[in-house]
Amino acid sequence: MDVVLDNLALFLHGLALTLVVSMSASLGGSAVGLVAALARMARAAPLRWLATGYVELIRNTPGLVQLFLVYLGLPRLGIRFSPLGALVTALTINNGAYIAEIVRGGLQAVPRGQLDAAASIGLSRRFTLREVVLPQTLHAIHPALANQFIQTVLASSVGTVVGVEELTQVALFVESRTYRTVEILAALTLVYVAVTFLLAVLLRRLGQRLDRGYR
Amino acid sequence: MDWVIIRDNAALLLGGTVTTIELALAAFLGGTAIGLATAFARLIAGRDAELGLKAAVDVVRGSPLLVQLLLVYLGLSAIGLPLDPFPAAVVGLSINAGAYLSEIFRGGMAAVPRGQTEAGLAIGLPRLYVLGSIVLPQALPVVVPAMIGLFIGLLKDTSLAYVLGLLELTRMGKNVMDRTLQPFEILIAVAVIYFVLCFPLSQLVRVVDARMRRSGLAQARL
Repeated sequence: MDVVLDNLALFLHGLALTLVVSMSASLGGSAVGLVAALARMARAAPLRWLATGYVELIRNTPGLVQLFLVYLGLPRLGIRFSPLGALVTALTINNGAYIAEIVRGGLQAVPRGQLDAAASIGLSRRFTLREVVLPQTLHAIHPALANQFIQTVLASSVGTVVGVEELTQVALFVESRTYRTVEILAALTLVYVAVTFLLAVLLRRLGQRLDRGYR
Repeated sequence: MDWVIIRDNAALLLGGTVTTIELALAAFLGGTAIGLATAFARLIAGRDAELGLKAAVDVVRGSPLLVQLLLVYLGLSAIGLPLDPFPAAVVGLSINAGAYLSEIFRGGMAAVPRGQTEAGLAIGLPRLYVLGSIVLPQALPVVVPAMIGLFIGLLKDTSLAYVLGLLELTRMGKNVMDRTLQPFEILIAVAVIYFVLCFPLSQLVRVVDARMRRSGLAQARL
């Protein structure tokens, strides 16, 4: 393990970048996912088609191909990203589609009577959505959301393919200089396991706090 | 836009597609074997072995597939057991799929009422037979849609074999891009091929799931 300790600063830098990328893509993906889920239930049909097309296209193609499309394909349309920008963008778009499905499931789990009740006491549609529907949705979906955030940490390792200096890239860099392949990759695996384990514990705590209002 | 480039390289891209499908099928078989063995072993084994297997499953599920592929490919070659990219990718993907499948099998079998196991054991049937021939078949309505879902995941995950230099669809696409300098068109073609492979299967999951639920086979759904 001395090879990891000797390069500790590099590894910590990579870990920090992995966490920043995952957090950005999780938050961004949640925003995109919420919008897409609401669009899939919109009254206007074109809005529904657009959202459905987005979700199905993303969920049925590999994340790596999406990353290449953002990083190598979009410059054709005049949109250029740094490797880091491309990784965060691709992961956000990818996450958004999966989170849209999670949110849609949660929205459908809210009993219809809640909407009728809100309408009968004269609450506006927007107010009903914000104060009645979304809190119950969040209560229903937070375990699935937590799982999606954890998957994002693992997925961020594809950043190495476009040269983002996240955790996996740093490990491969150190490996190429030291040839301590097995030790480095084993340590890398354990770091991911530790990070996802801690994240799971943290998100479960947060979830329990959310659940307090629901018996 | 220069779509002729796709027609000119269609044979290469289709060759990559075949490799992708072969890889996904091989890993699905390997993963099912590993997943079944792990799920059964966890149900039969003693406490210590159970904890060890749970830890192994958690490590695989808690680390990136990309790293697992590199560990199999680079790691085995570093300890003097070099594998070619294709077998290395099959092993890595099988181990990864096996961990997720073992949880699918375990979850499905846990949904079958306990009385079924108790009744089987009470009339003197061996434990493995009870699990394999009585409990598992009743878990299939829960297990099969999840397995198709996992296969879709595998089709997409094979793209990570890119890092081993294996000429599956994504790597083949990248090679064509680097040669033709037309990444946009090629990437669209590659994405369309993956979509054509995955989308019908994801619709199938929906149909199978709905049918099994309607026929009441999966009343004990988790």
